[in-house]
Amino acid sequence: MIRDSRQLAPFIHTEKSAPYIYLTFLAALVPCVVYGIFYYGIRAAILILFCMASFVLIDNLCVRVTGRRSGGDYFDLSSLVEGLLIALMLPPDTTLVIALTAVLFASIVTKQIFGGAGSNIINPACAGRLFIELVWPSGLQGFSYGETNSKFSLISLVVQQQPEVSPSYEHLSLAELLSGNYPGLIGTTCFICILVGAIFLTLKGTIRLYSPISYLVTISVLYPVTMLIETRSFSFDGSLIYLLSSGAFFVAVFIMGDLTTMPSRFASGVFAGVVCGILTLVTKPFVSPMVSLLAPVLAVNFLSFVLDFFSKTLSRRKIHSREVDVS
Amino acid sequence: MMTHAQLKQFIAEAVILLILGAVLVIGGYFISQDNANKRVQNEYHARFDIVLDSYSYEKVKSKALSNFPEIKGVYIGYNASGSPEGYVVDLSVKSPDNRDLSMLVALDYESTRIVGLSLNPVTGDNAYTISEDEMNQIKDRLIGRQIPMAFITDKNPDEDENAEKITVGGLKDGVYYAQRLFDDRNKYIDYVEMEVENGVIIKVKWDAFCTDTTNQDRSEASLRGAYEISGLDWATQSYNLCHALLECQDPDRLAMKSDGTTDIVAGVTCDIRPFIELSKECISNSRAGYSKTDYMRGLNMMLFHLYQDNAEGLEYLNKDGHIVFSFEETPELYTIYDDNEAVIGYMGVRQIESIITGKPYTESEYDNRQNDKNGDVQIANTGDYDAGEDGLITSGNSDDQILTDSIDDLPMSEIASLVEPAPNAYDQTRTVIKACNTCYKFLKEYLKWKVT
Amino acid sequence: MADRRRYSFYRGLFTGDVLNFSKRSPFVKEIMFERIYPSKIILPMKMHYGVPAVPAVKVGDYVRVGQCVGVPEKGSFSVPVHSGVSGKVTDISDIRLPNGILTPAVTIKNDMKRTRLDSIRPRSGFKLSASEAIGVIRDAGICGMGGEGIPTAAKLRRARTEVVKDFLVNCLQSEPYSTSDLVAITEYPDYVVLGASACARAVGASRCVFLISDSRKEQRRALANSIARIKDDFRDLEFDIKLFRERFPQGYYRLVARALYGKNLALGETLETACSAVLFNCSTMLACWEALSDNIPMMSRIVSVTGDASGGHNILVPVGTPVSEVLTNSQDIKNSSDRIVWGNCLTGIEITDPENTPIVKTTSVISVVRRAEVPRTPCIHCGLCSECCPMNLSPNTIFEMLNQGLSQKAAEEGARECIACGSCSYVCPAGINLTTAIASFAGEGRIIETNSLLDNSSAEDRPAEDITPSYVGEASLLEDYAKDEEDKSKSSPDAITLPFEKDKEV
Repeated sequence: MIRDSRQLAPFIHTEKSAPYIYLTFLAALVPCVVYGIFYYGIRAAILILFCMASFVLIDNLCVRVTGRRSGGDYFDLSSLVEGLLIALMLPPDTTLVIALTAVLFASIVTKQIFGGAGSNIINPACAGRLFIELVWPSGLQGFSYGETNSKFSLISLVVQQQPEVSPSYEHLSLAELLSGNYPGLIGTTCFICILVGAIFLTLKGTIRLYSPISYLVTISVLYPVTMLIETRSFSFDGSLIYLLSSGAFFVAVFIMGDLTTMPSRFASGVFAGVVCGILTLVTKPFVSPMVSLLAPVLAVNFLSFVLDFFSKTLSRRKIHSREVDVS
Repeated sequence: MMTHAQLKQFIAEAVILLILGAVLVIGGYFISQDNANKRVQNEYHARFDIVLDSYSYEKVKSKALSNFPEIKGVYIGYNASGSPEGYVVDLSVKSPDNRDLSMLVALDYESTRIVGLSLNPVTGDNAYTISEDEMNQIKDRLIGRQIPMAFITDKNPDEDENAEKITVGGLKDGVYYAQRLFDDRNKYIDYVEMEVENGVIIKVKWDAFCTDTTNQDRSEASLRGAYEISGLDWATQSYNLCHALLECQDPDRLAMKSDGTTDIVAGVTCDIRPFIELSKECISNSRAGYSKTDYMRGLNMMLFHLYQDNAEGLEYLNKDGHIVFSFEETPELYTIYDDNEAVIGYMGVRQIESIITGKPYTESEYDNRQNDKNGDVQIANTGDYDAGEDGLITSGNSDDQILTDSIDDLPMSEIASLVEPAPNAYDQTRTVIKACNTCYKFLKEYLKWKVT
Repeated sequence: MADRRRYSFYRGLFTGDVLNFSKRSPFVKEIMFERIYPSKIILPMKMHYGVPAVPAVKVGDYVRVGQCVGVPEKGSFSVPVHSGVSGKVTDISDIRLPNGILTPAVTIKNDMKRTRLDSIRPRSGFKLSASEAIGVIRDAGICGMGGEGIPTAAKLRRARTEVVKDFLVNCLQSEPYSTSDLVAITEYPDYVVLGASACARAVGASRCVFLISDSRKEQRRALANSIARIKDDFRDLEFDIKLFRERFPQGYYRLVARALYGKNLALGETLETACSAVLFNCSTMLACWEALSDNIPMMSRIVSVTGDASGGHNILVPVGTPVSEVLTNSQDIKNSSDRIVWGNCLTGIEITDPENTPIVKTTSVISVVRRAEVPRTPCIHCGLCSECCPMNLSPNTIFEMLNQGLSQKAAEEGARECIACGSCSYVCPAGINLTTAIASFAGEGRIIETNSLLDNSSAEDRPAEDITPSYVGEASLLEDYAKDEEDKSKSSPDAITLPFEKDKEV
């Protein structure tokens, strides 16, 4: 029997190919993009397009230079997703130079050095955003809003605006918190939009919810405790406001929901989420809000492989020991 | 990579997400905007209530602001029915010893008089401080005065000759009013309301109501776009024109051309004839002490003369208290004919009233230059003024008042009020006046006033 | 009867349903049931696990329906082969089955007369002892029809010696799109239940448990009705239906053990020793009852013809029917570019020669799938493979280790546990063929059951002839079988005379 052309099983394949996963992420971010452009106008649109385009360009250049892949047959959609994520985590009045720095760092240092799409240990978008937050803390304070916010002004893309004090969120009503009608980052403020994205991803099955859910639960439960220590008053209101206004929800869904860099197993995923939540709350009083959100995620990214490995080994050992007991 | 159908489905899903996102964002915006506005208004109220207690405030967005780095924000206060009440200017000026004074100045919308002053809380090392007592004294002197301001000071007696006389004399304090007796082709009846204080016109309002009472007043209609003219909208033109009259105090100096327009007041392209006529009638009434209530009584009398009932009974009274009635059916009542039966002018209400009642019609005794031959004709009324001079000066209660030279880059000719410095607080008063004058400079640029 | 609990082997929360094919089988529109008579059949002598039978006919002989054409060699671990058609033997030659087995095969040309052996008739008032019943089953040539192919008689005998408590009937057909077992239940629920009861008695089990997916409601009802009907005849047996979640590959015995008994069977452990249970496919039970009650040897079986390029049929075909005839008769529009898969889409073997490839006793499904291009991208380390692996492995890690030549580490990671279910390759977003790499590594260390789930990928790595009991990894099991195998009188099924004895007692 001739078998040279025989393909090995399986003969069917899930529809969830890698481009599909990235496309679902892109689609899930669409509401946030709409939010950003609606509230911040042209400069948000330019920032988003610029980040995506430059990320793709730099990724392709790196691949070309290192000769890792000839390219052509496979368009790396992960670059688009990561560029978009970086853009959405920027304040609306960020200059293009800062955005470019974030993209450069994310693409070259955290992605291509590790071997390109999928091989990265840490989340490039997260790392890039954290990098500029540490290098240019003053460059990421442009939250012009309300009366000072012009949807057609482009000057902030080129010239660094006056740093503004980070607005306080305590007085915001629930409707504002949910709809994101308050100054904040381009894409992270609108709770409803992020929720729509999260539901979309869940329906499509391209998100692992262990980490995001445990992270959010940890923060909402422990936030009153930290408030108790700081201000001697116990209330869950603060945790709600913090969750909705700080961008924690965005980070949970789109950074911790990432398949590549977060632990894949249930136990390790939950553990990572809890650790992230605790680290965020612990570091919150001492560093800028974005750092306290992103740095723990990076830390967990480094650990995710180890966490996975251990959770697996532990579970196997448990079964093994039970067998011994039975016999 | 992906099949065509998959991609198609994906694009469809993305579009659905896009629409959903847009709906949520825009819906959320409108749902939460109320809250946001309320909060902003509350914030404004907390800041501005002490200077201008309005129902709502709105921040002014203007290119003119970029020329005034010292102005942090300009807000317009509105009353509950949505008409503007005044300006609040948040600014910080340099004191004579080069320190910062941050304060709020509230101005009346119509007459640019100061209605409130308040210091912002002291911030920073380089802040200029004014004690509460001093501030109260300054307030006593400044509030109610029209900007720009300058000092009355006895330090420079040699500049006495710069003192200028008031252009229109003999005005009696009070509120005066005049309206046209017939409507124009748009069914509008123009009216001018004028307030005189200390012999100076401090407030002029020119508007028109419609004989069709369902229509809005002309200024409101023009703001809503229902009444359109070339150039700026009518409300702005009216405002500018009134302001120009406040500046020069004399309708004749608005240089009306034969076609009823003027070149002097920038941004005013409309026919200013009704305004000139009516404001002259007001001035005449003012001299005669014929106040707004007298005027209304006169109108009522005319109605009674014709229809044996007053405006209320005839239901010609609109909600603002204007008598909405056009006397075009009975032109003989107010028209002045010459010998050839040609129309040469119209009489004012005061004149008509005197005819109806049989009382002698008298021009005010001050109006000594009144040409008796044409004395009945308001249109010929010219005030007493020194034609060669311009600029204004305070009420003539003190002849030996002395002006400083040009102040805050404003020529003395523009200065509307002269004030005395608070005792022992000359610098402080000076700084506050500087702030007020900065407001004036801004408003001048913002409203495109052209002051002759 | 049906308790609320749903059993499964997964611990995952959210992605566990990736392999639930019942939910996403759009092209099984209806379970159609047909019966075809092929123009010829090719009967391989080795369709089961063990030694090939020996052809008992010569070219030119006339065989009738139900006649034995292949008999097991004396003392060997084998089962007889019966013809499902009547006609002339045209050829006896060696063929190679898709799974790499080289075996003699008898080709019989159908004369379409369907002349039957006289012995194929219902047994009247039969009463068999346990060993007699097992003998009938052995003589009927029945082997595990779910895919394992172990002779049922040997398995029953072994279960009897091991003293099992639970007799499990595997009604979990979780392979993508295949419904042949479910049709067997829908059409002949009584036969399945009776066969199971009889076999349970024969092995001395006290409980008869049907394992069925909770989404197969009709089949559940059919089983429950049948059980209610015959319960009184089998008062010594306790009947139970256990509901499972629909997941692939739930029917594998180690996963059943984990789901039902919470035990993780090590390699080489059996259900019998670890859980004192024995697991049989429901189609096998159907065949057993046919043999016991109607004296029908195993000469035909239900095959699903399915796949995204097929209409979704279930056909009762004589064993040995060429695949091409099945496809023709099921009226599937066969595009030349479609793949024909001998077995299910996940673990089957693509065949290129459907005319000469027969349906064997273990073939439950023929899949016709479109030639879909699998996306190939670099691994994105998403971890979906380790999430869905039923054996709790990390295929991506193992794959990486194997690529780097670290086979020792891979073995430590548990690579040898791989059952080659194909789940990881199925879910891999990057389209990496993890299953092939890992299963072939796993196959190096042990010989996997012929034609079982894992067979296809490892088949190439070993010579087909090597399959003898001594080579098989699960040696203990087979040695037992071999020991039990007694010298059986070589006879055709019609020669079996059935003494009517009293029912077997437990």
